[in-house]
Amino acid sequence: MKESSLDELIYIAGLIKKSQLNELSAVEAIQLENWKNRKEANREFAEQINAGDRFANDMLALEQYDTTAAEQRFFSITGMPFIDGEKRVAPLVNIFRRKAIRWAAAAIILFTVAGSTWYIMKSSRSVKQPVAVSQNVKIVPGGNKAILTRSDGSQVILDSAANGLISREGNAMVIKLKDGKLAYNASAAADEARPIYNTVSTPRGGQYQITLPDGTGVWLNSASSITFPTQFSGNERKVKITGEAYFEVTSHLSKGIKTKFIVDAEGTSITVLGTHFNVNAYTDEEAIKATLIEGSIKVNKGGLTTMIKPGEQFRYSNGATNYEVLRPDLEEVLAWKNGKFIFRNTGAITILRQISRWYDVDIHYKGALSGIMFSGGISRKDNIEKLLELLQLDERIRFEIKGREITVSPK
Amino acid sequence: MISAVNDHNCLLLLKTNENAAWQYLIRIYFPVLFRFAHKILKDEGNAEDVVSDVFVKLWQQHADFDDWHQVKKYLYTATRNSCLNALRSKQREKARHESFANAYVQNEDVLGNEILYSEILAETRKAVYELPPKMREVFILAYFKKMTNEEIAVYLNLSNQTVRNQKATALAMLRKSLQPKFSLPVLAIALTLKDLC
Repeated sequence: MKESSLDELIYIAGLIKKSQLNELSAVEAIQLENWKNRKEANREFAEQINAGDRFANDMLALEQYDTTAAEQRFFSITGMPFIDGEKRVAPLVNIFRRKAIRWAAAAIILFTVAGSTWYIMKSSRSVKQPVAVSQNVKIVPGGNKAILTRSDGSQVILDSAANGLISREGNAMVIKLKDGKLAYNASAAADEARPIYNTVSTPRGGQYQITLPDGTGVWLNSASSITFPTQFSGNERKVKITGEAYFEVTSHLSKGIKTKFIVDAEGTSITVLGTHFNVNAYTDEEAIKATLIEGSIKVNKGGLTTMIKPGEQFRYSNGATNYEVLRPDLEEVLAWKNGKFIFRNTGAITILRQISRWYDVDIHYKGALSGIMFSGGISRKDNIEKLLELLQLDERIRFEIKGREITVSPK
Repeated sequence: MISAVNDHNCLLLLKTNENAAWQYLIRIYFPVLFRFAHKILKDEGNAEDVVSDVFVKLWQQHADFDDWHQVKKYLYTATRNSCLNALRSKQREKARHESFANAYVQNEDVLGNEILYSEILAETRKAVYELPPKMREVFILAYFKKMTNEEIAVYLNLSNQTVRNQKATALAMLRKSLQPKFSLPVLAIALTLKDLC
């Protein structure tokens, strides 16, 4: 059977359904009549579907078909988690594709074992030190919060916007999905002359997930933003970010040629064809870091260009004259995206910067904290008190909370 | 049953490989494709194997589909081709006289009409699945199982009036939700039956 005849069958199915409703236009009625006249089998089919109980009986049989076994089989072959029954919860480790799946499964197992327990390598005592709290301001963990800024400067608060169509920009529709994710859906060819730009930005204490018009998935960490055209055109897909973002770039063709995807992060540009990577470009961090999970990327910073391999991290420290390529702990790099804080011999100040961004608090330092390192992991959904208690468990530092201000001092 | 995913967002969610989207796809299409495969293979175990493989292959290739039309084409074509291949290898093993019976199901017109019918069934399934669970149950009992309002009322422990209301609302919802997108097989059945709500 040819491609074209399958197209026709699907089209005819639509016409038959319309004919049952007496909703055929004059042209469609002629098309359907022509199809019936072509073969006796066609006419018979069209007549049979409205006769007797066949359709109702077949529908009933399909309704009674239990797909549980089929689902279990599919999910066990593909290694995806199987969700049974009516309830569906948001997956803990969200949306990993293909090769990354096995890695993600390993991460889930690790966390099931570790729970949200904090392991402090240097911990000598396990006496709980309460965090000194004065003034009763409730500090809550961050959540899915973001603002969409349209090309005309108008803004939509995404966390409170209702699901469904949020905005229409040129040919593109902006849709908030049921899980709170934002998706762009272009219906027609882009206007190459006048691209329309949107920006999604997260505040401190926010994070957000977006599907760009080409299907590329973007996870934005707190205090971050991404600017992109509502439709990609030409042979390059350019976006601009601040803060931290994780990308799952889809491969995309324009006139039969694979188009590049270019991320501009504070003057560092990352060029890819289709791959998964994380970019950390917070201006208050000590370096710009691009970490590749799979595929390949080309990084350009101030005229220096390099290719990095999966598992490697491009790192350009502030004030440095050249870049380094490291092999970091990927779990630690992607922890934020997976709803975790994970530290591996991480400096106290780096940890506190993350805390500041996620819990929307200001940190004040009383005394030097350099050289104080921590290792451990905890859920980003946990309260700040729990996290701070764990950090001061071995009595090397202590915290005092006043409203949204946290003072930290060495002991 | 399928709360997080519907026909509109399934494609977007497939792109990000969300298992709920795959579950939706399997729940809607597996029974329809199984029925189709069974028509050709006349063997339940083989039909299940073939259709299972169709979904796994779709997942492996991770074809980036832009619209439902492409997904449907993939599902129907892959199921048909796998069935025919399975049939041919079986034919080689078996006695010649059996291939005569198989010639019927390998006829292009017969296959084409089966795909056409599968498509009508699948689209109707999607429409019915968009109804709220209780209403869906009433609807299926009324229009597919052909139970009377009284029978449904007793069966689901509802009042007669509630059953009538649910049926009327279901029809109204189907009319409303389906009209702009595609035509309305479910409503068509309802009209054909000339049911009295």
